[in-house]
Amino acid sequence: MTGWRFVLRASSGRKAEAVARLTVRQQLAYKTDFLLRSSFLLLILFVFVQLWTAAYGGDSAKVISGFTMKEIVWYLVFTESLTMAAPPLTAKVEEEVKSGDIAVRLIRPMSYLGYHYSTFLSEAVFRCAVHLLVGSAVAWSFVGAPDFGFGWPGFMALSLGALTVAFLLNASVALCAFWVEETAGLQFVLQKLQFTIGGMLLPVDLMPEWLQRVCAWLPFQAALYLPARAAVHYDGAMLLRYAAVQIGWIAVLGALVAFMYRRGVRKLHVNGG
Amino acid sequence: MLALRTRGLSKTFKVKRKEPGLGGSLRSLFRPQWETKPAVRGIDLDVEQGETVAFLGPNGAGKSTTIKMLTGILHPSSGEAEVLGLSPWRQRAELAYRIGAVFGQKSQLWYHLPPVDTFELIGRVYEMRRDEYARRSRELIRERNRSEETTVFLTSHDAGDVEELCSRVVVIHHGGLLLDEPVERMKRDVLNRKTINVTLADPVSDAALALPDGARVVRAEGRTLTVAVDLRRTAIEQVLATWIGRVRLEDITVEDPPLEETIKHIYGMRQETEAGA
Repeated sequence: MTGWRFVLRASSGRKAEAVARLTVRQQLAYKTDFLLRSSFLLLILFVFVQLWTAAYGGDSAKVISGFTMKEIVWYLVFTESLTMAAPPLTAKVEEEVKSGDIAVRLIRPMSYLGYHYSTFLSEAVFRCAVHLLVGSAVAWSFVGAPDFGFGWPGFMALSLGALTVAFLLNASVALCAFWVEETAGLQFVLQKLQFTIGGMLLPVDLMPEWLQRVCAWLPFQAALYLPARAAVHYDGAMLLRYAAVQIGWIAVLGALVAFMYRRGVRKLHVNGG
Repeated sequence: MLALRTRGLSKTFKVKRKEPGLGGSLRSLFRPQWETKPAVRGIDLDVEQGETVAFLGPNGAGKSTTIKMLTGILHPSSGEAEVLGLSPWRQRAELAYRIGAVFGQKSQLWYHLPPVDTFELIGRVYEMRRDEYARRSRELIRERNRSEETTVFLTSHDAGDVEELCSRVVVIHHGGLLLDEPVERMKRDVLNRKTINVTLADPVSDAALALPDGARVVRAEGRTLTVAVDLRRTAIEQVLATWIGRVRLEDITVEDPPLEETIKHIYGMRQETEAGA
């Protein structure tokens, strides 16, 4: 599998690391972008805190579908941090195909998907850390300190898998640009699926029974719901099960993305002089 | 040994034919009509190792498409090619270590970061030893700047230059092939140089012309001289000023350097014709 060969080879690992380091340094140049994102996050969280306060009737002891109000607000901090951390991979690939800049990526002895995976992951991890800091400030002041214990390392561990699943979902849409050159519509659908049945806005547990069963068979919850739930409701056995679900989806989506890439790159029309 | 060999290398693109207007767009949506457009028609080319070949043609002649096939980015519609003994599109990854390609307008620089970081990354991607890569890039930068100063170049955001140097370092290291589209450098070269064609009323020796630094006679046929002027070192007016009142002029024109001169200049070849005769 062309796309994943980079993970297996040591030299490729070093290449990925070099790209990752440069990506993070490049990120530091976008201060305004960070400020805007962070203030937007503050606003969203504030609105949701108000909403949930009304839903719980201000009762901090009340439990809805296994979640207290404090847990649900912190759950949102985790899902929002992850969602807003994902860089616009689809737009990047589409732009590379349209402008023909993809040519300079393809002539390098480095896997194309591997390159994008390392920029995606490093950018996302960096942004996620900033969002967690900002989000924690809001949640802490409205619903109190987080006392999740092992939930924190649990979240960290599942976040890597979650961002990898998010990358693969986005990559499968992004690679459509090799055929159709216009992927905004597909991207819109993917994003909305993540917001709803991916469990970004509210935990899957709060959804109707039948929808929960549908969600269990889809990859979207592996990218948001699983790590956020593991953070607020930590349980060792559950963590292992969640990790297994993520690994399963990574294998399936990884195969799909590698297959799409192999087919797409053969028929790719590289624009421009 | 041959560095490059192609036989009947061709590429056709399938494009949707659209009629003008909304009606045309709708028709093409439901009943698309495809048209095949030949981009490259049967190229046979042999290039020996160490040879420099200029690949010229008007816009749309298929130069870039050919280079893209030779780097393995595009799959040809028919024909075959061998680059350094490898099939570009079947062994693209392997070949990538040994060729450097600079695509005219494309850039892969990381804006907001100094170009030296791009150098580092490229060195890593091509699996070169760090000190080796640093030493070679320093050498080339020095050569380009014609000074010991390596930072001047590195702080200027000249994408084309950085890309070309990256590719050159890689090629020198892995002993490969450099495919280059020197569009940017040609533009700059044309901007920095002018040619004065002058016909004198009386034959005059070069010394009597008293040319300033940066101007020199590149061709002399009887009383007609061709003078190349490097605008970074002297101005056209300065050259003309040295002549006024000293030599009798019959005819004079100032023009951009001819294409072949520009190409020779870029690739650092010696001017064949020096003054004299």
